[in-house]
Amino acid sequence: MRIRDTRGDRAYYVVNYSVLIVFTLMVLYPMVYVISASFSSAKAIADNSVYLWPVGPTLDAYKTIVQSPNLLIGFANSAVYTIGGALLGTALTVLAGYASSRDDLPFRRVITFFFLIPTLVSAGIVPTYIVVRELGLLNTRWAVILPGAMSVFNVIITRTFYQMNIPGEMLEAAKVDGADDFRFFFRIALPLSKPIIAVNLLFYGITQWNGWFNAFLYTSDQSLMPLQLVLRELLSQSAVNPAMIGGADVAEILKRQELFDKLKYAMIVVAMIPPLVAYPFVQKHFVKGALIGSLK
Amino acid sequence: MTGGTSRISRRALLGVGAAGIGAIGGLPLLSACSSSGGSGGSSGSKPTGAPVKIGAEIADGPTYKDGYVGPHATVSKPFGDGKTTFKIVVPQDTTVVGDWNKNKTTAWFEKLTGVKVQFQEVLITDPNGGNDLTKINAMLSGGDLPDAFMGIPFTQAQVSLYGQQGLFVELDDLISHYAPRTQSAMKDYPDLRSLKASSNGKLHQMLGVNDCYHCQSSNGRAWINKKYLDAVGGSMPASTDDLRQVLLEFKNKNPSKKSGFLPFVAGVNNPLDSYFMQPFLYTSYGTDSNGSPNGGWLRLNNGKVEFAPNKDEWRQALQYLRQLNKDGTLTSQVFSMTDTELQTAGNKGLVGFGRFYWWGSIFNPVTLDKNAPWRDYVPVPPLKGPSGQATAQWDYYGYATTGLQITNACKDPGTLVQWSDYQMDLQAIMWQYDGIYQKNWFWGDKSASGIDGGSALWRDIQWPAPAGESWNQYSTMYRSRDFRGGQQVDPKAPTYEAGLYAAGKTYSKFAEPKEMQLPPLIIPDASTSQVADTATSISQAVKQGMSNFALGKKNIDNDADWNAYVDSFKAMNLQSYLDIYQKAYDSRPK
Amino acid sequence: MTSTTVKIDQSDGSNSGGSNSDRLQSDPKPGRRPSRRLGLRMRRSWQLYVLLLPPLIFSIIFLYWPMYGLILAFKNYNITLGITGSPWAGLTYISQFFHSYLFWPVIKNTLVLNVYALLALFPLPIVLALLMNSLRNQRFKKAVQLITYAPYFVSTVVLVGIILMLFSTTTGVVNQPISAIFGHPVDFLSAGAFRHTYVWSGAWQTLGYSSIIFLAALAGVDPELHEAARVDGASILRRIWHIDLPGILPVTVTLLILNMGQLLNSGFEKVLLLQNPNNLAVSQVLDTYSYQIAFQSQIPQYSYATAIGLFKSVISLVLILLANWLARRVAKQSLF
Repeated sequence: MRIRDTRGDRAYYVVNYSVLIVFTLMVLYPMVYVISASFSSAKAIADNSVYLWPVGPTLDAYKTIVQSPNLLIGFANSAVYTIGGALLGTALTVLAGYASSRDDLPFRRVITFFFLIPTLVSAGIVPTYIVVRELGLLNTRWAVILPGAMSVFNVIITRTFYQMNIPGEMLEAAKVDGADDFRFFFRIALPLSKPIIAVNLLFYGITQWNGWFNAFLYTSDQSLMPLQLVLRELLSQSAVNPAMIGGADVAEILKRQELFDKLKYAMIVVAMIPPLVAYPFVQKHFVKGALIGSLK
Repeated sequence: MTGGTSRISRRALLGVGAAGIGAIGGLPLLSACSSSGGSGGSSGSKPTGAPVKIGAEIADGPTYKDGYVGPHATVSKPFGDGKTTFKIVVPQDTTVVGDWNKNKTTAWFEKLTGVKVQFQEVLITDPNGGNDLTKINAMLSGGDLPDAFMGIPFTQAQVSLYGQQGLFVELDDLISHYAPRTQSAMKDYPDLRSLKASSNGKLHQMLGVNDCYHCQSSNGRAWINKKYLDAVGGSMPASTDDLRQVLLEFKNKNPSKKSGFLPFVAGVNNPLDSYFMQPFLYTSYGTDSNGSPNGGWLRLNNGKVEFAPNKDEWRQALQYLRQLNKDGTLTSQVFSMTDTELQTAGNKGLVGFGRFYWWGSIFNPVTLDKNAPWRDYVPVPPLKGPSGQATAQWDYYGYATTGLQITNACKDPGTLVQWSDYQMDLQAIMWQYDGIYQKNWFWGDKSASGIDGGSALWRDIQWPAPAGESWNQYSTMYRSRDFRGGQQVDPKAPTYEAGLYAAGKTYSKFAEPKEMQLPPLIIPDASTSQVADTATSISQAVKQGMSNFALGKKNIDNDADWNAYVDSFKAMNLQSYLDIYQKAYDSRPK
Repeated sequence: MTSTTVKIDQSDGSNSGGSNSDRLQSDPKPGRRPSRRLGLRMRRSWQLYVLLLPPLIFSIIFLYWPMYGLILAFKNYNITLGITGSPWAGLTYISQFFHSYLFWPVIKNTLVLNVYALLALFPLPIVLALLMNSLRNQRFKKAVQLITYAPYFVSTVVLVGIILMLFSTTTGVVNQPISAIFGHPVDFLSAGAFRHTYVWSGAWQTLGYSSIIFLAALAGVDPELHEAARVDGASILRRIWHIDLPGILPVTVTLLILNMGQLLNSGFEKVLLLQNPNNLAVSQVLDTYSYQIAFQSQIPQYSYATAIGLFKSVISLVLILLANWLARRVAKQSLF
């Protein structure tokens, strides 16, 4: 059945496309700038002469990154942390989100509140460090993944999704058929929640991918460093502290300055590629009616 | 570590009983070395054997200039037992040091001393160039103590506090026995020990020196483009009025012939006050003239701690800035320009006069090319104010570095003291600073001269050394002024250091009197948070006040506006803040 | 048109992803039920408790256990004595914070900045998601999603670098035409402009990423509803209003309530990097203030930082409870 667009609808689409095109271009420009700058000479960047395309094209920045001895280790570690963190976080979140979404669960409000409190209260670095230490996790991969494994934000959003998308009637019907809560959750609720599982995997994966703090604080072994920490370290060491100009030698300041200018853009490009590549796999679950389709 | 830990736990249980059990969860476990742990700090092990002496000069060593004060290259023998491994926490630096445990200098130094060290690297900087001691602090709080920390920028207050709490070992006795080089450095620099001593007068760290001559004036320098100055037919400004005329000429004639010319620049990290207040009143270099919460804008007046920004002369200075603003030569940009903006402007040749540290502040890159445009910028001597005063801020105390701290986890502090003292040997300094001898550096050529005009002590081929060869600048160094001045210069390719040395000379004549400068002080632990609170408010009020009055958002000629500004400091508890500083000054270690 | 509305209302119970408002808030009223029945219901739900077990254990260990550190706010932290062993300080730090000269300006700056950010940045991802969702060209749709999501990965240092480069009063691309036309540049970091620069650069960076959650919610809307509404002659705008929006309302309300709990948190690093003496009057916020006092002082002030943090927690709790109550009254939805 094909219905022709009304004039109003056509106007809507014109506006919609224009708005999105303008917005996309606005977002695209700085991204293009970052990429171009990463291929430009340090002087061109300092001169502010990079506008759109690389000026004085050079691969120096990428060479420096590739030569960084910890880069490959960082990539491998990041992959482990990202996959591990995404799976673990999503599992915990879906469990908490589903169970607390059931309105027949006694003490549901209390449980939700229990999960919510930590979003408001930050315990601080030192006590968290001491807990990780007491658990014997210092300098292990677990110390990177575990402390931030579950985000209460995600739990609550996931809970809302279950409330919206798993109708009470479905549960009633399943119960009549003799399904218990386990069966309903694993056989019906889980398959129905692909979009939110995809979103959770993405969010947790990105958090781990972008994360450096846990590794920075809880590990000291270079073989455990994730990519972001490797990059951060490179960047930190090349940043010029204005206060340092008083004390350190001038040649070093210059060297660091040059490195800093070279690196900061290229690092973003390098670190951005994997999340961008991963996105379409998540995106396909956002197709209109994907959820409903699986229901029928 | 483990053995000590369990022993102490047991002691805690036996001695303190139930209260001890409760405390163990969060209690950092002290380990074996702490003998008393009381407020006096642990005394470490007692020195044994004969006191260590400095050896004879090495053969084929460097030539020292007449009257040379500084480190010597001497024959040293290994003293370590070759078995004990010390765990030392150091800054992570993959670009220069690389892996500390596989570093070339590490290997050389281990051979020299016979002491085995296992380094643990910790990232201590953030991408904005600041220090980030988060992890170090967490380690300390969590009780994960190495044998020592080296090159970690603890504040003096931290070392003092942790030392008195027994975390860091007291070193005076050990130094007088094991550390002859440190002793001679203390003789060469009489203030050195008191600068690094804890508030109870004891020393809890090994001393380091990095005496950079030009750095003493770097905070208060201003520069002008000589070519532009000639183009408008001006001469080097000597007074505030001269400068005003030059800036007007710059603005009206635009000697750069480029659009967007900026007669006057300064910026977020290059504040105006360290240069522009001087013609009107002394604003001593102080602990930190950038107004960080460690206190700023404080000075001494006959031994009394004073605050400068609420004085009438400060008001006159602001009136002068306001005048420049009315002239159109001073704009809001002098408060807001970031380092990158300054460099872009400099690269494009848009800068006439500016308050900044050095050429690299407005140029990127700074090439060694003979005709490079940065060479047009020359230092502007301090300006004479209405009362005829001309002074420059001068840092009298910045040379003392944070060397090495030995913790109570260390079983043999004497060996580490000697190990650290070996780092003050000239050869060791050069290795640690620049890596492999006769590859990255040589002793100075016989006939050549150094930055300071004396005979050359050493020359470098490349600095910093390639990754993995040197220790950058993290060791317990003894880089005296004569050592730094002894860096050989090639007259055909002058580097920046020589130019900066000359710039330092421009200002040294005008250096503020030493007795007006508040030395770095240790604020007692109980007052630190109050001081930090007040200092943050003061810093904000002074910076905001300068911007508001100079740009005319508040009227500097209006008494009501000025009084409101002055009164705001009272509301911030300025008086009790000054009292705390006064007390800290009066009771400082001498 | 009425038929569409009716249809949607009917679809409520059947899987449309439409408003489930009644279910969201249909918590049992504990007072009315005898405890015997409660015990029975708990026994019946034992499997749900088993599902809850792993996340609960996780929360207790990693989220609740470290909270014992909050007592630092009432102690004089001594690094050798540890958290539990340090001497008590009572309300010293809390009171010091309340009496701090900058207390009120900082609170005001924080709230103004964050309320502005919330008002500007909360609705926009929804609009973006709705616009993208109604696109029919799948390629274009996916490209737009991917591109708008990318800036999320730009680090704060570089983001601020780009802002300064583009908007610099001396050499910025944006200011060159402005100077040419008006004779003087616009200072985008002045006290007057700081908040706009902060908020809208945030929009640029996070809109695409924030819209993901709404896209996922929209995936739950039954396309047949749209088809049916089209047959009834409903325009696209009406369909978005009556089908899509109700479909994402629960997520929206949930996020709004959660966001209310973050009103005292700012993008600390970004604010710090954008600060200069001209804008300090509006750019000093709670997080930068607490950082400057706690970690740039001579000795790290863990106790003071914890006290400020605790203050933030209490305010956030009040805000979130208020938001929850309001949502229940107005939108007939709530978190708990």
